[in-house]
Order: sequence, then structure tokens, then C-alpha cells
Amino acid sequence: MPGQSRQRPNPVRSATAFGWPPGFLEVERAAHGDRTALHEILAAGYPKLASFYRGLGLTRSDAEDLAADACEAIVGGLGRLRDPAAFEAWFWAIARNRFRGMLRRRRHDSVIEPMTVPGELPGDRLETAEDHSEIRRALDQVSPRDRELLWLREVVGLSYDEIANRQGAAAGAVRVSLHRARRRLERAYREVTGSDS
Amino acid sequence: MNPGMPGPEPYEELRRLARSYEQDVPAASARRAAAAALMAAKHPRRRFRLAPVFASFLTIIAGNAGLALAADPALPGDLFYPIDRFYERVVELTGLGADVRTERIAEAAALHAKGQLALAVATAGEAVAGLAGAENAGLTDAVAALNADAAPGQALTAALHEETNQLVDLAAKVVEAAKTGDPGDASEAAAELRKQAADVVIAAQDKEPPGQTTDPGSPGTNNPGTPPTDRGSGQSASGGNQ
Repeated sequence: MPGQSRQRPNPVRSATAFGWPPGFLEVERAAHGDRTALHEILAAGYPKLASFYRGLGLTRSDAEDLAADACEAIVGGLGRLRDPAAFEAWFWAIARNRFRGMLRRRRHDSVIEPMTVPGELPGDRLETAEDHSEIRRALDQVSPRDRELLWLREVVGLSYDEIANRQGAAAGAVRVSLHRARRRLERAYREVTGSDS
Repeated sequence: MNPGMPGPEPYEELRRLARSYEQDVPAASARRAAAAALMAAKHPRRRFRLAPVFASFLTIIAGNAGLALAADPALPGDLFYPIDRFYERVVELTGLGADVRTERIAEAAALHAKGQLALAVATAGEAVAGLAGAENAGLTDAVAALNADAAPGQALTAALHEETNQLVDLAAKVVEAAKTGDPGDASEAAAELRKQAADVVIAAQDKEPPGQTTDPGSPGTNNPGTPPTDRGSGQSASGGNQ
């Protein structure tokens, strides 16, 4: 049920400096050309986008470039958003479309790099407060599609309906895909943490 | 491990990873990125993508090539003939060596085979137009005579067909002579063509009434280039566009 799917706690949502997701009025003001409101939304959304893309396996620089690209798309498309209440699902749909567009433009293999081997700039690791090596190694073992679904559900906190609607799929299909993705990630996580031996 | 046993949940760790990635982006960078996105929207970049341009170019080339091929067999009077002539002109202007005069002769022969004698002669006239010695070859008179003759209900005689055939052949000879560049050959061929045009005029004006059979074995003509026809040669010899 869509109502239940929102009950999962989402610490990341409440931990942003600028306030995320933006409120209805803020989105409406931005959609009607209030550049200050739009700037605030983008400034709050940009780190989320960069984080999402790094979670999908991009290097930090690629992730930040793609996040900037997605911000441009958001500025260009916000005027056409009919329901400000649907902003967040729309925002993440743009983020996903940009990622897929980039995969199409480049060769898939040259974009997604293992998260546990040197694929990032040397400073990347140092700037990360914790190593998170176990979850990074576990994420390496699931597909980009699984990572995307898991991120949107478990990190962003979108409902099944919100994930499904924007990709033209049924909520049931998303639920099944997520169930399988969870099993794969949990199995991979058990393997890397050694808790299944 | 028993698969039924609950294992460690990776999701809290996943959220911590997400937070750490977010914290890797300084607030100043986020604000700069937001400002840049706003600026880019104000002054959109014109992104040049090669693939659509290349695809459009190929589509245009393929479409034109297809149209040119489809229009190539068209004859004067056909729907596609102006298109054929357009592409012929394009090829001519690009200096790719279009042999326009030979093309006209081929069209004249095809028109003759279809029984469109006036058009065949007019097209042969186009083939020789402007060639030395071929001016005033009488082809305009021949076309006029044939047009007058080809009134509805009137059958064209075998003699008229043959005279027109000869005319097209002689026009081809004029074109060939012009290609070789020998002025003697060219003026001789043009003179033959002029005579033949006069024969066509005579044959058109003296055409036997419809329904009468022709006699290919009847006496020949005074014109050495003209085979025997049912109308006899005296009229041809008397000449002139009467």
C-alpha cells in the first residue's frame, strides 16, 4: 500500500542543511520563476544527486558533472511540473534519466567502476568521513539497476508508486524487483561482512 | 548460514554512505552548481550533436538518390520527367559528366517506340539543339506537322513511324559526330538530318487514310537515308514543307 510504504524511517531526508525535500510552496514559487527559491532547491538537491550518482558507481568527478547536468534539466523542466506535490518523484526521475542517458552515450563498462578498487581520485577516500568499505563492496556485487532501486527506496525513501509511476511500470513490478534487489544486496553484504560463514 | 536466519541489514550502512557522499560536497560547491544551472538555463548552450546531423544528411542523400533513380526512366510527358530533368541539371552543374544529348536521344527513341512521334522528334531536336550545322534542321516543322497529324482518331502509318525512326537515328548521328569533333562529319550528319526532317513533314502531310495497309516492299525513296515506304519517293524528292 502506498501509505505504508512511506513509514520507513529515512534519516538522510532529515539530515540535510537546506531542508529536503522542498516544501510545496517553495516548489511552486520556483516553478513560477522565483530564482531564489529555485536556487535553494538546487543547492539542496545537488549534493543528493552527486551522492546518488556515486552510489550508482560513478567516480566523484563524473557524479558531480552529471549532478550539474541534472540541475540544468531541472531548471529547464520545472515550469512544466504540473503538481508541485510530486516534485520529489519528478526530481529523481530526472536524475535517473540523466544517468541512463549518460550510460547510453558512453560505453556502460567505462562508466560504472568498482567502488572498492581505485576508480576515484586519491582524495575521494580521504574526504569520506568513514570508509564504508563493506557496503561499498556489497554494492559492487549488485547490478546498477538494483543499486538504483535500492537507493531510491532505502536512501531517498520514495514509495513504490513514486518509483513506478515515473518509469511507467506497475508498483507491483517495482515491489518484486526491489525484493529481489534486497535479497541480492543482503546476501552480498553477509558475504563481505563474513556473517554468513 | 541458514538462509532463514536474519542477517545484518545493509540499509543503515547504505544511508550512512549516502550521507558521507553528500557531506563530500561542500555547501559552497552546491551553491555554485545551483547558480551555474540557473545561468545555463538563462543562456542555454547550443549542443551540437553530430549523430542527428549525420543521420539527416544521410536521409537527404538517400531520399534524393532514390527519387533520382525512380525518375530516371521517365520520358517527356511523364509525371516524374521534370524531376529527372532537375537531377540531370544538378549532375550537369556539379560537373559529374552528365551526357545530356545522349540521354535526349535515348528518350526520343523510347518515345518513338511508344508511338509518340511528335514528342520523339521534339526530344531529338533538343538533343541536337545548339550543335554546329544542326540549326534550322527543320525539326520544328516536323513536330508541327506531326502534331497536326496526330489528331484524335487518326492512325499513324508505318511509313511515318519509319521516317521518324530514321530522324531519331540521324539525330543520334549528329550528336555522335559532334562528340568526335570532326566538323566534316558533323555538317554531313546535320544535312542528312535536315533532309529527313523534310521527309517526316511530307510523310505526315500525305499520310494514307486510317485502315489502309502499308506495303513495305514498295519502291524506294530518292532520299538514300530513307528506306522504302508506302508513300513512294517522289513526294520526298519534291521536298519542302508544304
